[in-house]
Amino acid sequence: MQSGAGMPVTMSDECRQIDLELDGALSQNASERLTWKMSEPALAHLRKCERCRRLYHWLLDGVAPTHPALELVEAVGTRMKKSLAPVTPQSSPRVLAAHFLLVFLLFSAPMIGMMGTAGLHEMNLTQLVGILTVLICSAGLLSFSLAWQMSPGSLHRVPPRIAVIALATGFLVATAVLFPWQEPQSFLEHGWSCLKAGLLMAAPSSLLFWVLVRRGLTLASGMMGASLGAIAGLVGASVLQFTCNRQDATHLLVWHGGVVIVSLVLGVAISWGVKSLLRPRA
Amino acid sequence: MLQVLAPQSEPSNHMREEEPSWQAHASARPWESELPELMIRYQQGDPEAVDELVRKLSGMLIQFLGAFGLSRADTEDLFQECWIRIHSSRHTYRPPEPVLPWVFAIARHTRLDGYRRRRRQENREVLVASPPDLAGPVNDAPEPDLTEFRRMLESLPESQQEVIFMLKVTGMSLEDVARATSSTVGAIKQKAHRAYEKLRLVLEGERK
Repeated sequence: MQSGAGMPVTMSDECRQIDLELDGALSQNASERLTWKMSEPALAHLRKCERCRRLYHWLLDGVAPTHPALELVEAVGTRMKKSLAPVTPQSSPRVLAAHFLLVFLLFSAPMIGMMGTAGLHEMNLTQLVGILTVLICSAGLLSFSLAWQMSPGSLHRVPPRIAVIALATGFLVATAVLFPWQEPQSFLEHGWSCLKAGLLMAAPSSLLFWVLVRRGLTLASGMMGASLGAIAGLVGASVLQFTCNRQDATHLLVWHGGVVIVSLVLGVAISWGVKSLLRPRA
Repeated sequence: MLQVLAPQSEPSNHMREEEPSWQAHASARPWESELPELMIRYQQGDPEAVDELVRKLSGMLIQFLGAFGLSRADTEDLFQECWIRIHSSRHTYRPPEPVLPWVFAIARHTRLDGYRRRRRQENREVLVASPPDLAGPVNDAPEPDLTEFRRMLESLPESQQEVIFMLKVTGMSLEDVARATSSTVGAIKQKAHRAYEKLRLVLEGERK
């Protein structure tokens, strides 16, 4: 690390301790910080380390407020009041996530009922429990991720990107470990029909998910499209898991996993397309 | 609460005679506790609540939107767009959750969309008829602290600027900042620590 004057500057453990102390203060809200006390060793370090002392003072110093032009503020207020109507607050992320899970289950279960359970009979208990756990956990994670993305200012326990990566990793590992690797026979022919069937199931379910998501599009982004596409694709992949009689790892990874991937990519593309259509023109 | 932190060397312009405390953060928004109630009234369609909210939050919002080297005109455009977004998504606020993370999550999104839009325009437009406005405070009054603050802020990468701005100017907690940036508390701490390292260097350079 080099200082501004080119002199080497080292961050001692004591300096890092100051950063941790600051975490302690900044974990509290502004009014609670007034009663916050720095530890004695940290105070002693501040007395001897000018760099830390300067940083501490800089962080504590107030910043002069900016006042926007009065006409601008009035114009904004007038514009908002023109379309002011009572609204019902959106449900909590937990309730929203439960709605997503419900759609997932209500869509998959009847489909499995209609298309038969050939795949179920091909799996042993370990495979069934393993893949079911991955599918349910992924659906739960994506449901919460979508719910958090719909609610500005909510605390994301798992970032949306991580939720998608967890789904992909879980499916990849579970399939690779639990299912046999066999010589592919009619790989393209069978696989293509599975991919088509999976996407045909994902499409209507994505519409249902869209109906739920549309109220929380404030922070809509490509990631929201990806999450929506992934959960819709997961519906297709889950139904295929129970209805398809080809339960070998290659087929599952390429074609059943392909349903999720294609659906996710379509979700991103559609969300960007819609966003660019709605974008204000210069 | 005042902590005794008398500097051993010559006091610089950062070392005021009066030792600073977190008072500046608390006094930046004494009305914070009123915000959830105002938001409820706003959701119920009370026009007075609209005026109150716009009056209380506009300063912080325009400071945030203009803190990243934008021209005055661009800042004002973003400011209006931000309030339109807040208005159209007022149903997504859930009382009694903290209001500032909700507002700043929308403001941040508005700023990022504005940034992407400008980038696209810049890629299309090579020649300009007149030089753009210089980034500066939105009103005409001189604000020396803000200029110094902006200079310090600009020494940081953009993602760290955002975190430091929210922690220092709005007085939000680490969790509130994580909420506003759709991130985790751990990630915010990491960004803040990296920013502290960089700020130490800048402050050190300034002293020399």
